[in-house]
Amino acid sequence: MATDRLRIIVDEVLVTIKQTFDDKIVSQAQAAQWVIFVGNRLLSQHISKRDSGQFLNIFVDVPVSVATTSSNPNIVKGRKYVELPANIFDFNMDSGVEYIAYYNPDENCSPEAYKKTIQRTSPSDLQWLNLNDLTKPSPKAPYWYRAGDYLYIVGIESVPVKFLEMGVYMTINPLEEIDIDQPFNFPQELLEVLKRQVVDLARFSFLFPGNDRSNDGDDTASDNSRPVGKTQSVNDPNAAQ
Amino acid sequence: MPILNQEIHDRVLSALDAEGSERYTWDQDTKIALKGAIEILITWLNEAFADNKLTPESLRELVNVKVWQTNFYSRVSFDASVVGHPLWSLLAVYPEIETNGNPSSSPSTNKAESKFRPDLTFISSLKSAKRLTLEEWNENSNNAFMPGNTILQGSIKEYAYLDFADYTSSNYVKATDKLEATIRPGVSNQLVALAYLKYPTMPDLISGSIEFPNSLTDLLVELTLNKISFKQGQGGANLYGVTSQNINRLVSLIK
Repeated sequence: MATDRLRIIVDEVLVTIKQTFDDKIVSQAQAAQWVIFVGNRLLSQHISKRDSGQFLNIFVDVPVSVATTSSNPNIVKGRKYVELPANIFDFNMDSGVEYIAYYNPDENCSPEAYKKTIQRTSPSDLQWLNLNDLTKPSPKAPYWYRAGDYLYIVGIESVPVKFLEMGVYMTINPLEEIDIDQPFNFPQELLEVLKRQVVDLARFSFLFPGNDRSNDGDDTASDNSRPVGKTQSVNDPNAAQ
Repeated sequence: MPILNQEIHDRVLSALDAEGSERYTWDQDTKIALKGAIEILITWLNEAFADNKLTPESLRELVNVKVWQTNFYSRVSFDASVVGHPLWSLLAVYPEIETNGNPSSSPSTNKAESKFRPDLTFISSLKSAKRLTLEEWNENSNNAFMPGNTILQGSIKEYAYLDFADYTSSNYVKATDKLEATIRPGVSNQLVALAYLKYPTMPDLISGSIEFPNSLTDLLVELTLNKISFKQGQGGANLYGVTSQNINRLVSLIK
């Protein structure tokens, strides 16, 4: 399904705010950064509200590691963990990770047909889960908990699991990694909202005095021409004071 | 279409009411005065460029776009003896270019030497390098939102260039022209195109021409006559007075 490239959205914003001439003050990178800022917020709200797989990203063969030495923060010696394969949204209850699963090659089943889903938990909840034989972590009832960019897997310590499959909700790539010529996977119905809010950010940057923005070799810039944003009261104008 | 020297000379003689006489000749009067007139015009135009009041289209006879291969350090030098004319002003630097010929060429053994590539014609590029000052050049290097940064890669990166400077040392030796422009992010040993104004050829033979647009003909004639008037001393003018006036005029342009 074809979607606009990020370049199309960024360039349209630059045309709207008339930043297409050779001495423009807003670069393509800056406009792209604004799109990422606003886009991440809108995308996270959209995913939270809708039960849809449109923005689910599945990673297979995510390698399971065991740290040989501890390293602060978040690396604990001897524990099995996977590193998040991408930046994900920090939803409540770690639901930026939709699922984690593994298959046991000894069971001679294809990974697609026979997965064991690993349940999410937290380090404090693990204390309680350990107290009950039915909930105690095991290869048949494994758990994961998140610490920063690492997901620790509990219950498969004795099982030779080398790779996991993960479904995650990714944020938009950061500016340093983004390719503006790749399709921009974003809810199409929110593009208009995205543009309006990005242009709002642009207008905010234009509030700074022009004298301070140009390199005229003069350090005595005055703020006489400073445009002031409209101040609007949140009180009901008809209400008695 | 350039301005013919003969046209300038004819108009000068007409204004002096000296047609057919040998009181004023091309070699002794008009040519010398015209050279001065061109230099004054160049100073005016430099000021107009600095104020963004002039577009290169006004000087299209002087606009060139040529291809170079940068040196190991992403620098390019303009060697007038190789290019065939001196440089007046650099208008634009284009990296990542498409050319019409075979771009392959081994880099110079001397890492400091860039190569002029007269065998290639610039066709197109999607990028232009922004001009930075000497201070901006260092400060912008790690600023992802300024041109010439080394943070962003791929299609979103923005190039910048630093105007010509002499970088030579005992370990960085160049045979001829020592002034080099630097391009960043680095384009080591790659092809770039420079869009520039060539310095106008100074008049020599009366059969030659001046590479300015025809619309500047009358201005050049007036400036030439102004120079010739120095010698006439009319209207109470003396050499000290007229040169002082001219000096003040030129200094006011560069202040």
